[in-house]
Amino acid sequence: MPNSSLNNNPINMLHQLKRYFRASSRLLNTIEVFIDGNSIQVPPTFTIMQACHKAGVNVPHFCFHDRMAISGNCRMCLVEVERIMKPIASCAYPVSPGMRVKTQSEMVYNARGGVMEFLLANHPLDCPICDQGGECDLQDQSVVYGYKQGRFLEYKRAVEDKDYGPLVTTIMTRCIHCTRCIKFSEEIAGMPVLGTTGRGRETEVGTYIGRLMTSELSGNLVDLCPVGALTNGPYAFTARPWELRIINSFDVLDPMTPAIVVNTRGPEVMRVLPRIHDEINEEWIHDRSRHAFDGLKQQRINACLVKTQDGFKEIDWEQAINMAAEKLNQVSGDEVVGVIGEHMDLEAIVAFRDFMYRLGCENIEARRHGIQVSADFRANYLMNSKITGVDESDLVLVVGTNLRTQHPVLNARIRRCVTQNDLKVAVIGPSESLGYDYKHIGNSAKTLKEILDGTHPFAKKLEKAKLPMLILDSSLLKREDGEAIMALVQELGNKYKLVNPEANWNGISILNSSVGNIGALELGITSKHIPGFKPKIVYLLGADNFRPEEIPEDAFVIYQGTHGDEGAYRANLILPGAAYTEKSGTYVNIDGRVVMGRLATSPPGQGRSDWEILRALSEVMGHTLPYDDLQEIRYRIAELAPHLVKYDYVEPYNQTEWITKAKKGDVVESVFADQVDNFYMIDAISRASPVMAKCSAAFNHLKNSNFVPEFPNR
Amino acid sequence: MSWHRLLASKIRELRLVCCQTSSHSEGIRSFISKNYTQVKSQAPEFPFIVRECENAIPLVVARYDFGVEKKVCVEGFSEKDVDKAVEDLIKQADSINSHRETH
Ligand code: SF4
Ligand code: FES
Repeated sequence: MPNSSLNNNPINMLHQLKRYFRASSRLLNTIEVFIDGNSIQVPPTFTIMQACHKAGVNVPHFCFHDRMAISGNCRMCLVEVERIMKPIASCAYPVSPGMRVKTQSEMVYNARGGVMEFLLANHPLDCPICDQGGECDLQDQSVVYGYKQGRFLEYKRAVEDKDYGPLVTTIMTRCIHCTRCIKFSEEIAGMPVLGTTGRGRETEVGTYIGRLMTSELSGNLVDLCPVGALTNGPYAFTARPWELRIINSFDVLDPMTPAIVVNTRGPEVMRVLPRIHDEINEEWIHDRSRHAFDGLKQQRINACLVKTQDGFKEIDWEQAINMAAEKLNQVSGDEVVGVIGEHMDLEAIVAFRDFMYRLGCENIEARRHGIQVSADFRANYLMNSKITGVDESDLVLVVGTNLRTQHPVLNARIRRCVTQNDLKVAVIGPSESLGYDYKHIGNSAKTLKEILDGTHPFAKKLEKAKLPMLILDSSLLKREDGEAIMALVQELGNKYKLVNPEANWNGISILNSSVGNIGALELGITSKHIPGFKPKIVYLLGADNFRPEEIPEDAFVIYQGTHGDEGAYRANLILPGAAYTEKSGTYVNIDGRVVMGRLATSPPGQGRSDWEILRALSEVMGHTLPYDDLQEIRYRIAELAPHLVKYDYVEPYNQTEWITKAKKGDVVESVFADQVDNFYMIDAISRASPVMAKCSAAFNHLKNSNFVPEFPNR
Repeated sequence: MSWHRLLASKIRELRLVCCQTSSHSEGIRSFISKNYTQVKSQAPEFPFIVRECENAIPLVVARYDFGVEKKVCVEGFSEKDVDKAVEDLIKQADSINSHRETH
């Protein structure tokens, strides 16, 4: 695809093939098997189903899921193997040399028909009122394997519905006991609250004691359930899959930018689903990514507003732009401050940057509350080990963050590596249940110092580790001793093999909290902090998480954004912008991966893409920005940093030599606190979302209760 | 090198684009390695932005007051030539900045 020419570059090849090398010895010896008479070479570790998939033969299945353990209990995947009398479950049976598999024989059809008949014996005939209709595995497969007539005269069984909270609706009568949801909660979410009770006909899936599923990843249960037993609560009965338009995009509410599908019907976003992207989110997204989009329909700013004595008054674009221009013309550039919001796209940021610089304003702030990193080199602010680096690493030290609430998807990946790759995890900071065993070794920067001195027992482990990783939350860098902490971490990096030029490995991974922040840093925007500086005009570009005390009382505030939140509340002039589903925008994630969010619907009312507003304003002010359409603005981005137009690609960068040395200083011994007190409401969109409000009401008190299953800290 | 001291006072930002591996970027790469520490020691806040991109034509871009940018293509330049190019960009600063102010 577009990257093929890039892959020929040696540096890149090394970067990407490193992982394959490790696995190659295992992959090299293959055996021959025959699927429906066709010979195929597969590794001996494959199951029959994997071999069939490799041969391009589809095997129907319910319980098998390639990211979870094999349970082999639905029996839908039966195939015939020569010289074996009975049909066998292909998902659980390993291949052997010369095996001859038949997937289309009469025996197979009969066996699958039988399984289907048993499944349907107790499955309700409620497809017309079932939300899964149209995307149901059982429905699809019964079209092929189902019999015309039922032979069961008994009553169908009925099962009481369970309460999984506001996000997952259960109709447990439809459950076919594939146990995918149980495996998910145990293996991926790390929260073993689901299980089966009873036997045979009485089997039920649920939480034993009526507990809610409080995982941040609980929405994924709905995607996993092959039938309509677990369905999307907020989406219930609103649309059918065949009415929906599918837009492949990336989510910006999570700084990992997981790949998502935005489903729209007409002008409305109906739901958000994850897309498979092995290098970002595998196939999971957290509940805020999935459900907070309904905040896009609430509290929206859909017209230009100006603050008057009796509240906000609606004005049209011309008046609004003229007013903004007039105000900005009255002051000199250095009396203006620009603040870039969390969800801003690169297009908006570059237009904002150019516009502000033309005014003579150098004071653009994107680092929320002043994160003290330098934008000079990319290694200063990105996750240098990459998200996939978790798979290779053998020791992770998490500093100053609760990964489960801050980065649930990354946490799921770490959890997988803990259970599969024997990854060891240690935490300095909040000690909460992460869903896997970890060692809590400290609370403050003191521990970092001890490790550096070698007096802490963890130092020995760090010394022995081959590819250690240190995950540092960017919130630590906005403390007053932020730079000193960074310096400490860099020293650690040099002392232990966190930074290892031979292996082309830099384990110092900074987790930024928002794409707007990363985007600004990518374009080289850092603010000069001037203490006591009182701006006359503050331009908030979608910024809601600012500190109100930093804006003087008498400053004129222009808010360009989407929601009636903190920013709009303080604003004197409001310009309606577009949210992430309403514009085509480029974003950079914590990895440095450049992703393109696609336009799914148009902004409500008078809303416009953010860069267009800035372009119009600049023209009125006589500093016209030199681009008229998206293409041209992307050329401009490429001019500033050419790697920012290589989509869905992580540009390799010098991560071992070119790093800005942080200034050493004294660290304060205060505790690294958990930064997210309410996972469901952290930005303007999620604060406006009714679903997120319901979630915080339903889950937050449970999360803080003592009954959360704790994993003993080893 | 005299320009180090002038850098932060004359220009607002120095931006260097280079390729990680190509030989045409060798000069600018060693320029960065050699000068970075010194620039930072004299002006720790000065944005000395380095962006790498495969096969990118190496560029030095200086930003002056009011967003005026001047760029020099340094393809195949030696480290000394890059140094010279940067120095030239700094020399131009006065005339560019004053031009804008009268404007
Ligand atoms: S609820 Fe769905 S996912 Fe869970 S066991 Fe039943 S059918 Fe499978
Ligand atoms: S997929 Fe093989 S038994 Fe369920």
